[in-house]
Amino acid sequence: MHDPHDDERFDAPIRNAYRQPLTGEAAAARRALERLGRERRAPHAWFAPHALRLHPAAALALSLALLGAGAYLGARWSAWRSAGAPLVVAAPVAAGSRGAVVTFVLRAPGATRVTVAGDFNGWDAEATPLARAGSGDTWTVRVTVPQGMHYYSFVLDGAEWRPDPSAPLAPEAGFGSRNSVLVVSEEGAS
Amino acid sequence: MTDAELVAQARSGQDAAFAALMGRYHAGCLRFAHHLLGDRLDAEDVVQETFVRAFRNLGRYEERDTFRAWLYRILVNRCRSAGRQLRIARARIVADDGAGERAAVPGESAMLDVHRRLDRALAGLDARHREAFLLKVGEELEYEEIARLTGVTIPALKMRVKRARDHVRARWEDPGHA
Repeated sequence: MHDPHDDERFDAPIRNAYRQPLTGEAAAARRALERLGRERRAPHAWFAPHALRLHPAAALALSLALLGAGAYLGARWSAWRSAGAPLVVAAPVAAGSRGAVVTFVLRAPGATRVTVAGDFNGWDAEATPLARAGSGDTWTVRVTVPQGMHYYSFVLDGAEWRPDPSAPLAPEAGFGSRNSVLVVSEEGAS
Repeated sequence: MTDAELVAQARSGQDAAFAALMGRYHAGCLRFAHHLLGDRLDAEDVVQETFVRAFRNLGRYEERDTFRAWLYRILVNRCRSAGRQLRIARARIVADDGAGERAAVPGESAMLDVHRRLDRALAGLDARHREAFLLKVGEELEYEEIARLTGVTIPALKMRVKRARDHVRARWEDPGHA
């Protein structure tokens, strides 16, 4: 007679073996992110311009609208940069053989909750909350980050993903050029 | 933050939210593809394609499926396609069972051992049985979910899992089993 409990007893060690990490998983994830970034920037892969047909007058109107929107967004970006730029970015305070304790700091006027998510915490937007420093707009947290290159982003109020404005954006690896880069070497973070 | 929330944010143009979804599922997808295809490099390529396709088609994702099930549907299809090409390629080369061991990096032996033991237990199992077994036993998906993402009926899936379990069990418990 077939016993389902017998199956479960057999499946458990198989499942356990299956779930052991493969070597190089993190590097593979980084390469996947890089490929996504490359494909995202290749216009033919995402958008077929030949499929768009516009009357010349409509094309002119669209161009003017895009110029206006660009100017508006540029002004908003400049204003945000001057008001909300972080004071310190990922400053190492202690380096160890397996990583470094890194201080993430962000000035985020108006935010009620700030977290940091990156490959060092499984991109879990809940796992690493920043604490408000005093009653101001500055938020901070110390995190032990393993050696290697990491991508991360701040999450404001559980909804708005924001790169670290003073940290380098991932050049090739930046999927959508929206994540920030942190390198932790034996000497600490940079 | 739930998958649904991250999907909504990714759809609104926040790429980092999609990166967060990748962070949750990349490792699992890689393990599934690795054990299904039996080749690490092909598995990595397939998983990359899976996430590219998922991102491109995020607008078509419907929440009647979990994001994970939807993602695995893409992954299974990519693995099937890659598997067909691999079978053709493998038919033209001489098998070298010792190559993986010779290429292993010292110090990785514990993790390699457990995956190698599993690969040996799975060896000889055809792609359909292996696929059903890994989705059920490895990924712990419900039969209904597996049926939706593979297009195979539940009775057929149960039969495949049973046969695969018998095959794997014999080789897992007796590594010398041919």
